[in-house]
Amino acid sequence: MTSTAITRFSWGRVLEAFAWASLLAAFIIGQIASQTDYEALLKQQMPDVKLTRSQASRDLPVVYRMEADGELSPDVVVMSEGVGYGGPLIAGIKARRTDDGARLNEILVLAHKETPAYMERINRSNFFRQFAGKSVTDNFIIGDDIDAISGATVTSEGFSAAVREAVHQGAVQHLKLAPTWVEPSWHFGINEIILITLFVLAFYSVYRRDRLAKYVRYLVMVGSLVFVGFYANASLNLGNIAGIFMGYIPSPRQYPIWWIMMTGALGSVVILGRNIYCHKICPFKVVQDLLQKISGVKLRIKPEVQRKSRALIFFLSWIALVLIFLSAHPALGSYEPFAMMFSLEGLGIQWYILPAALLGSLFVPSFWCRLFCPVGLYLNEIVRLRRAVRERLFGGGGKPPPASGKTTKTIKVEQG
Amino acid sequence: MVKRNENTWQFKFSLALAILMLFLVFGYFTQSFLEIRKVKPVSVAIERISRESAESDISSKADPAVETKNEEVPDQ
Repeated sequence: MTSTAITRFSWGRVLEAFAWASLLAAFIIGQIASQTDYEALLKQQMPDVKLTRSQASRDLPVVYRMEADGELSPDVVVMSEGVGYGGPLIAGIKARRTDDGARLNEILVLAHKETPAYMERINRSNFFRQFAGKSVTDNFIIGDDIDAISGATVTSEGFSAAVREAVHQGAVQHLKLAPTWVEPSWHFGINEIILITLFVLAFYSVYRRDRLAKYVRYLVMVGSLVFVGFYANASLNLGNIAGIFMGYIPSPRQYPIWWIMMTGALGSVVILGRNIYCHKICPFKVVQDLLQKISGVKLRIKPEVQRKSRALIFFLSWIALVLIFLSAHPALGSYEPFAMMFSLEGLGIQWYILPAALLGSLFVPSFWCRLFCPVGLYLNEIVRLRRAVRERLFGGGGKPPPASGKTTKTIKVEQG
Repeated sequence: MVKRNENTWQFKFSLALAILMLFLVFGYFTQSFLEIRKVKPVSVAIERISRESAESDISSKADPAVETKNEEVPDQ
């Protein structure tokens, strides 16, 4: 009996060690493999062109001269880097010298970590055509002289910022032009105020039990579905969490919604010990609850299956994280159907994951949250860890933290 | 008895839905894996590491004095 217990314990530790080691290995390999090699990236798009790095100025940005069939092209390629929704993006800017400075001819997307559906939308909408013919002294600001693509705003902003910074830097360093352009201001507007208000209302509905709290709860539900889901499409997913470890953090000036969401979700968990995001802000939870209301069917999950769901989600998220770290591409591992649900764009098998998740939610309450959602599991694990630390530090006979699950119902099932 | 049968049916149906979902998620992982295989991150990483180590070997062999000189620089 004792030896079996020891054997089991050891195997668990071995598996855990293997999981951590493989994640670390995938991370290191991914980071080395994804180091930027500008020339190799350009060669992929222009295999017949001979590239020579310009030695006119050693300052950034990197500029390449092009030579085809023995003739030097009047165009140069200026390399630019920015941060999109999924991570870093690299673009080559074809530009030509003019009497008053230089003008842009074409934008070449060389590398990105964006969700393929967003990039498709950007390409379909001819976003990059807007840059052609612009002077290097133009502003390149979304909402000013560049239009964002609806549904891919962060990606549009990422590419605009990358082009803007490289072109303006080049104008000053290489062409010795004086800055005449407008610097972008903070993007803090109505969208950010709405999201902060949603979090404030969510906190209110959690901590108050009065009549008003009931109405506030409905308001938050509608707000999260319409705003967080369909309008901003800003649901948290595994890719966001993995992105933090890989340093894919957008600047607060460029994408304040990401910061508000992360601060709200992680702050409520770490500071208050409440998973406000999953219970109140997650728009996919609202969709599942609505489907439950429509069907009225509440099938039960076998307690044994429910108990093993925690291990299952850990296993799924381990595979997802290995894929993400190895490719250094958050979209390649995030198996959640959120982005697809609210943008109605996906690739390959993603088209089947969403309907299956919705079908499950029609019959089983919080089907996705209880059995598959890694974000919910990790947020709940932080709550658990916080309670354990608190109990160790301050003692107390508080109730033991739940093992997993997003909803109160799940917790009851697991404890029972 | 009826209650027990009902529960069994419910458990089976919810398990079937979960298994279907699991298959699809694994399908997604396979799709991603095939996508990653095109980029060959492991080979690229090994190639880069070996290239960098070869380059550092060449530079240290070509100019051994530099290394000695650097080592001899006293602390400021």
